[in-house]
Amino acid sequence: MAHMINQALEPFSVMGYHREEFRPFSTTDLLGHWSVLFFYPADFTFVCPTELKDLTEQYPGFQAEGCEIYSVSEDTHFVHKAWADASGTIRAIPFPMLADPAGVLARQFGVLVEEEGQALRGTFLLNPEGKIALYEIHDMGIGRSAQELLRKLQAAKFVHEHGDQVCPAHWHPGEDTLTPSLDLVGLL
Amino acid sequence: MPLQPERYPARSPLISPELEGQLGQLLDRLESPVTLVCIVGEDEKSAEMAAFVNHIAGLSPRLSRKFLAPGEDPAADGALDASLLPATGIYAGEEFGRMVFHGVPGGKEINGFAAALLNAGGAAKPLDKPTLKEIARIKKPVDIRVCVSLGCHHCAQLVSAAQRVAWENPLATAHMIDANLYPALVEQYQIQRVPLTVLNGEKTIPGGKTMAELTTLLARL
Repeated sequence: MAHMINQALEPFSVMGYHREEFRPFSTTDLLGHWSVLFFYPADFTFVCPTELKDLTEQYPGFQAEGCEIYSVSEDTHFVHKAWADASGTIRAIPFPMLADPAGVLARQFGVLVEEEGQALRGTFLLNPEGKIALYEIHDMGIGRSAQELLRKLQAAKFVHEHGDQVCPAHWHPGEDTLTPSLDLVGLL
Repeated sequence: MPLQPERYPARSPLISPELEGQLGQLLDRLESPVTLVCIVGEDEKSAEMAAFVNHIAGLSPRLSRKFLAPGEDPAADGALDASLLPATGIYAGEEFGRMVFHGVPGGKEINGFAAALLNAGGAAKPLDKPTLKEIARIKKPVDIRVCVSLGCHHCAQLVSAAQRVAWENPLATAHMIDANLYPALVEQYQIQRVPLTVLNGEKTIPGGKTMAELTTLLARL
């Protein structure tokens, strides 16, 4: 299986529902800033609203990092609106909800379950150049954590800006000193 | 009353017989006397470092050590920064080599520590002329503090580079800081990744750097 890290976003154009309005979204909307594409199986389901609510609550953190979230399902933009009309949770979503009934985006990112016409729970973080910095794909019933996604976004931004010559530091005061590990080759 | 080396164990459990053999092989190369000046408090890590210094000093006749309590020698307190104990400075004989270690240089940091001893003892690998020229381009005093964790190989490489710069250029001083021991420092600089280098207490630089990258940064200060 080939991985998708660093693969570039391919051209697309879909309709979306955002702040009670319909409008088209295309590749250029996702460039120049960090973007999250957040696929979920379908509107009017149970796990999805909890995930989308979680994202809504963490949204200020994503905005502070200069990242836009785009939720994506295989529903039309009309269905997104109907769901928002029917649910206060969905109505409160501050980010664009993309409509992908033709499966253009879900196929591009390899999350479309063709026989069901639904997307797996895939999350893709794209850097400002539109390249995939990280992704996770869950089976239908396994929910995701927006807080953990925000932590990953911050780590990805750090590496993007400073290179990967760093080690994560997990501070444990009182920890034993590590046994010395001498590299004679480097010293002689 | 100066602190006597005998106050602390002569051997450190961190130095295995195998490591002792490797260090002995390195320290045989020392060409001139090197002094380890160690400012220690009453805390556990200070006692651990004191035993480490005692053990290392016993591996070569060219090595000697001196233990100080904070406040005992104001000049050493200032040079080594006794606010971060234990603090161990590497001296070429009696002359401060501007290379300081805060904490115990376990894990990967033993490499920087060994390299610092070789620097001060005239036994380090020679640098090429372009690198020496780059180091000489540093014209302003610079205090280089590399905050590390002991398991980070990027950190160890940067510490070695910073110590070498300090050894070669009297305007530079390099401190290795095991950030895990100093929560206030972690809080002050919000250190979540290492290495984090702090220059003159102001400018922070995240991530590993090669010698060339480091000297370029320092020359621009």
